[in-house]
Amino acid sequence: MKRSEWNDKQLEELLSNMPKIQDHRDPRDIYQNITIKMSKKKQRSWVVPSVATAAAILLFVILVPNVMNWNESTSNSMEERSTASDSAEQPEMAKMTENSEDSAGGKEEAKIFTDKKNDENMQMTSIEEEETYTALYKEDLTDGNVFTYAIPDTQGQNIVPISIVVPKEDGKELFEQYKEIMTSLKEEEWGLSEFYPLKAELSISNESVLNVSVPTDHPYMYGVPGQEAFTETLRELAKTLGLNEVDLFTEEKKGIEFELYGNLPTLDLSNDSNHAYYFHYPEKKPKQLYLVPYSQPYKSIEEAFNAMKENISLGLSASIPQDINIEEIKSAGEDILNLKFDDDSKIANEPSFIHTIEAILLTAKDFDFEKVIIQYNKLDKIGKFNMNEEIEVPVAPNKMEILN
Amino acid sequence: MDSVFDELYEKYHHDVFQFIFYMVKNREQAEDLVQEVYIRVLKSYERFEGKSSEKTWLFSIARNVAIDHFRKQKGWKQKIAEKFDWTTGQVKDESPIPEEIALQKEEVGKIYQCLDRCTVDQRMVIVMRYIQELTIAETAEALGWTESKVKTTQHRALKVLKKEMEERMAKEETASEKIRVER
Repeated sequence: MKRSEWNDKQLEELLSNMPKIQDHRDPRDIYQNITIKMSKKKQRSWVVPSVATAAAILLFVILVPNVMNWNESTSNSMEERSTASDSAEQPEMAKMTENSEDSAGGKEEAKIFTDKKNDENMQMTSIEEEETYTALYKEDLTDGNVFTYAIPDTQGQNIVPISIVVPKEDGKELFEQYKEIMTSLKEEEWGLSEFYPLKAELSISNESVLNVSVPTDHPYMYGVPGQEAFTETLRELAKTLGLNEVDLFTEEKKGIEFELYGNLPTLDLSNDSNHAYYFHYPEKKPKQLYLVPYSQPYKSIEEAFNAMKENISLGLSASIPQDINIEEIKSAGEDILNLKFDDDSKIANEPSFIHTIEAILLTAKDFDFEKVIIQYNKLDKIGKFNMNEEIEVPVAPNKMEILN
Repeated sequence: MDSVFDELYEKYHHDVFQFIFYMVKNREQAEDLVQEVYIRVLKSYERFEGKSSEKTWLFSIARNVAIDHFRKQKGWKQKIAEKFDWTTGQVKDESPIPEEIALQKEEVGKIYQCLDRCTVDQRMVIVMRYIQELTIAETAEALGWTESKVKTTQHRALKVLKKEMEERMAKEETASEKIRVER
């Protein structure tokens, strides 16, 4: 029988006839494997730090009196010595007693100690003004350029745009600066996955074309986020430098092979916008918040705002709380978006709501608005954002610093 | 046993295992990955708010686990890609055919191998749509895509499979003709 011609129907039928593959294991074995794995993961997360903290406390206890004694021998005045040692030891003593009271519950002292420390840190960050804002605003940008790098998260689900401000340097090309920064990004420290510098040679020809050349065994062929981050970063770079073409090469040969997109000779630079921003907390650094655009565009900004009230699979959580009702979304001027929070919306002047406003502003920016007016009768201000007045959209999402 | 685990196992274990198996085509790996799915599910079960159906939620996690797996495996995948002989359009070293498939008629085995030629996205759609029999809407929800993206991906995937199947069949025919002529 000659069957070299196939139609969709035959293929579909064949596919649905694929045999069912069964897992022959006993569910109890599976459950046991899972619990073992889960408890291993948990253990790892606290055993090392608490052992380390316990060791640190022990060292401290041993060293402090010694250091004091050493001070004593060098100092001549008895009085000076006693005040010095008192003031140094007392707060520490207070802490220790506090801890031992807590540990009456039978838990490890060291663990409580670390927990306490974490709590303190958390309070600190929520109070600090600067830390509250994730995005980069015009006022943060006195005299510098902004580069935005696309970095995959550690779970391979999202691409996080990270923006770095670099001071203007005379006589140094923007492009050179971009490449320099690329080598000093701290992806892992930020709870993201190691991605830069790109394993590609970048050059500019004819002042308007970005040439990208990868080796034949380039790492961007497989893995969904890697491919997306690679192309997204190049698009962003072309935009920043005002270039109008990106040509791709594999060594000398035109085109780069991607599992997702096939062989691409150039990158499409047409405006890829209308994305909504969601909250993303990295698995490796759960206290760090990033505002991340979801890869799927929305048809209208109303649709985007509605969608932002819902979580998206794993990794992206709702950036607008359910009980904020946005009504009357209209464009006031060409570049101004006018929206109104319903009076029943429960909003307070707190960091989480500041982040919601940031998500709204970034989404508005992606829909090409330059300013947003938020009408809300119950508050004059949320963070630094004035209600009922024009707010400028941020310059870029997720500002990070590189300290050398 | 955990009641959540019990319930999910009863309802979806075979579907999830099957999905992962057809994605990675390796029983041991599928067994490990399906456990990873449960771990992620049990960790985030409280966060599941019932806004999407439980089934598509589970598939979306399975999809993420599979994608992660491919991410980690890129070295291995690249090795396979290198084995691909571009002049004849054949993969030289294919993943072995499991017993269940070997027992089926020949075409099933062929299409199973042709799945390797689809992109990961395309394969996910094919497996969800035809092997798991999810609807377009369910597939879209599980993958976090629009329905139109599911449709176009499905269309492209079928095109890839069609081309591959035809090439294989044509080659076999010429091969058997040759034998006949030689005789």
